Amino acid sequence: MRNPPPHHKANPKSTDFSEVEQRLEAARAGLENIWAPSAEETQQILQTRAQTLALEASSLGEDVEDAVEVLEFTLAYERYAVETQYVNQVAMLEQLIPLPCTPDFVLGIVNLRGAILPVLDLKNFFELPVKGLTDLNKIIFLQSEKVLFGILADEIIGVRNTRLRDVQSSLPTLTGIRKDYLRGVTPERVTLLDAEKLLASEYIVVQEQVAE
Amino acid sequence: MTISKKIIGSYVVVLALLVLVTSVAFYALNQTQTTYNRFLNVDERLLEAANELRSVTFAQQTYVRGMLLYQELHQVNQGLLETNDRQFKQIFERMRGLTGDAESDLLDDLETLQQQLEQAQHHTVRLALQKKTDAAIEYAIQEFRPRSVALIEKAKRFYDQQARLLEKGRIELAEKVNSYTLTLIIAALFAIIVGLTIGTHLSRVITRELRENIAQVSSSSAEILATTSQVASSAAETAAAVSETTATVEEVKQTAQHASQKAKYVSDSAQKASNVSQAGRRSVEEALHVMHRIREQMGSIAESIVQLSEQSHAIGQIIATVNDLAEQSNLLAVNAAIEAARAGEQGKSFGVVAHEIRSLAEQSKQATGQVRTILGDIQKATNVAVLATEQGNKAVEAGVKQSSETDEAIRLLSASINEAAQAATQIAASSHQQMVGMDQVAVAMNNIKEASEQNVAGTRQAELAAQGLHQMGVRLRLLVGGTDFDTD
Repeated sequence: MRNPPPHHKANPKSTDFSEVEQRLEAARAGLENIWAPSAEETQQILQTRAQTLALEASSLGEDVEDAVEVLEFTLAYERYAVETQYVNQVAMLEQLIPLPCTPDFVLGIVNLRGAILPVLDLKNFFELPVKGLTDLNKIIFLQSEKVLFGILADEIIGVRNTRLRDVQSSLPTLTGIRKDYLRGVTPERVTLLDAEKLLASEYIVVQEQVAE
Repeated sequence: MTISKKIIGSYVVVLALLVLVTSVAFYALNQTQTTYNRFLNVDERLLEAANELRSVTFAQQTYVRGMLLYQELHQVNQGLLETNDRQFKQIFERMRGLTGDAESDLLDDLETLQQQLEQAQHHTVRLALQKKTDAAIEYAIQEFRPRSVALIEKAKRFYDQQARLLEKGRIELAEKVNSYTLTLIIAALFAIIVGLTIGTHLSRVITRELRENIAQVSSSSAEILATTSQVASSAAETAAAVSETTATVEEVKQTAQHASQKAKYVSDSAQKASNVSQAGRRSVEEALHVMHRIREQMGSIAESIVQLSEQSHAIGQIIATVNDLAEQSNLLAVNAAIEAARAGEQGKSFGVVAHEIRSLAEQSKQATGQVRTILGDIQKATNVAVLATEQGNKAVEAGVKQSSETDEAIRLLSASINEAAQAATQIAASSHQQMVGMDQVAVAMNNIKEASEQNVAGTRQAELAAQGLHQMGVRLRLLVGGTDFDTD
C-alpha cells in the first residue's frame, strides 16, 4: 500500500472522483499482483536474497577460531547475550504457573514438552528498574550438567558470532549482583551474560521454608 | 320705537285731542240746539197756547154775549161755543203735552178755572135757551164774566211767567254758549300746542334718527364700496388660483397616471417574483430531497467504512497470527541454530539454513509490523472518514434545517410578494379612481371658474349698487337738512 498523494488534501472541496477511482483500481491491481508476482519481480527478489546470503556467508566465515556463538535477546529495552553452549532451547512463554513461597525473581514453572521447569525473571534478579510494560513472552532455557531453568526475555534477536577479544569486560559502573554475572559488553553495546556463573550460582537455589 | 309707531302715536294723540274738541263742540252745539228747540217747540208754543187761550176766552165771552143778545142767533152761537169748547180742550191737551211737572199746577189751576167757566157758560146757555134772559144775564154777569176775566188774567199771568222763563233760558243759553266757546277755544289751543309740540318733537327725533341712519347708510355704502372692490380683487385672485389649481390638477392627474403605471409595473414584478419564489420553493424542496439522499448516502458510506474497519480488524487478527507464526518460526530457527552449534562442524550448514529461516521469520515479522502500521493508518483514516461522514451528516442536517428555513423564508417572501401584488393592484385601482376624481375636480374647477367670473360680474353690479346707495345717502342728507351735512 502506498501513501496517499500529497495533493489529496490540497483541494478538499471538490473531490476528483475519477482520480479516486483510478487510485482504487491501481490499489486493487497492486493487491492482485502481490499474490501473483510477475516473472521479473520474482527474479529480482531471488537475486536480492542470493546476494544477501552471499554477504552473510562471507561475513561469517571471516575468522572463526576466535569467535564464540551467542544468543542475543532484549530485556527491558536493553540488549543482552548469552553463549549458545549454555542454551538448551528457546520457547514461547505458555501456561506459566506461579510458584508460591519463592523469591520475587522466581516467576513460576512451565511445562515444556512434559518437563516441569522453573522460570526466572532476570529483571528482578538483577534489580533492574522497571521501565513500562514489555512483551516478556519468551523463555531461554539455560542448561548445565546439574541444572536446567528458563529466563524470561522480551525478544529473541538471534544467534550470531562475537569475538571474545572485543568484549570489554567488567564495566566499572556496574556494581553488586549485576557485576558478578556479567562478562562484559560487546562493541555493539550488547551485555554478555556469564551463563556459567549464573548456572552455578548458589543464589538461585531456592531453599525457603514456609513459616507455619 | 319705530318712526311709524311714533308718527301713528302722535297722530293718535292729535286725533284724540281733535275728537275731544269736536265732541265738546258737538255736545255744546247739541245742548244749544236742544235748548233752542225747547224754546221753539215748547216755550213758544206755550206762549202761543196762552195767547190762544186768551183769544178763545175772549171769543167765548163774545159768543156768550151773542147768545144773550141775539136769540135768533142761538143756534149759530151754540155751534160756535161747542167749537170753542173743543178748542179749549185741544189747547189744554197741547199745553199738557208741552209742559213738565213744574208747570202742571198752574195748568191744573187753569183747567179747573176753565171747567168752572165752562159750567158757567153751559148754565148761562141753558138759561138763555129757556128764555130766561134776565137770569141768564145776571148769571153771566155774576158768575160767568168774573170767571172768564180770571181765566184771561190767569192766562196772561201764565204767559208772563212763560215769557220770563224763556228770557231766563235765553240768558242761560247765552252764558252756556259763552262757556262752551271758551272751553272750545281752550281745548283747541291746547290741541294746537300739543300737536305742535309733538310734531316738532317728532320731526326733531325722526330727523335725528334719519340723519344718523343716513350717516350710517353713507358710511356703510362707502364700506360696501370698499368691500366690493376687495371682493372684486379677491375674485380676480380666486380666478388666478383656480387656473393654478387647474394646472395642479392636471399635474396630479399625470402623477396619478404615472403612479398607476408604476403600480402595474410593481404588480407585474410581484407576479414575476411570485413565480420566482415558487421556483425557489421547488428548488428548495428538491434540495431537501437531495439532502435526504445525501444523508442516506452518508449513512451507507459510514456503514461501508465501519465494515472496512471491521475487516481491517480481521486483517489485524490475521496479521497477529502471522506475527505469532513468525516469532515461533524465529524461535524455531534459533533453536535450530543452537542445535546446529551443538552439533559442531556437521551442523554448520544446518546453522546456515537455520539462519536463513530466522531471516525469513524476521522479514515476516517486519512485514507484519508494516502491515500493522498500515492497519493503524487505515484505522486512523477510517476514524477520520467516519468523523467526516458524521460532520457531513451534521452539515446535511444543518442544510436540511437551512433549507427548511429557506423554504419558510421563501414562503413568507411569497406571501409578502402576493400582498405587495395585491397592494399594487389596489394602488393601481386607487390611482385610477384618483384620475377619475381628478377629472371631476377639473370639471368642478371649471365650474368654480365660471362661478368666480359670475362673482366678478355680480361684484361689479354690487359696486354699482353700492355707488347708487351712496348717492342716495347723499341725497337723503340733503333732503333731511344740509345744515350739519359735514358733521359726520
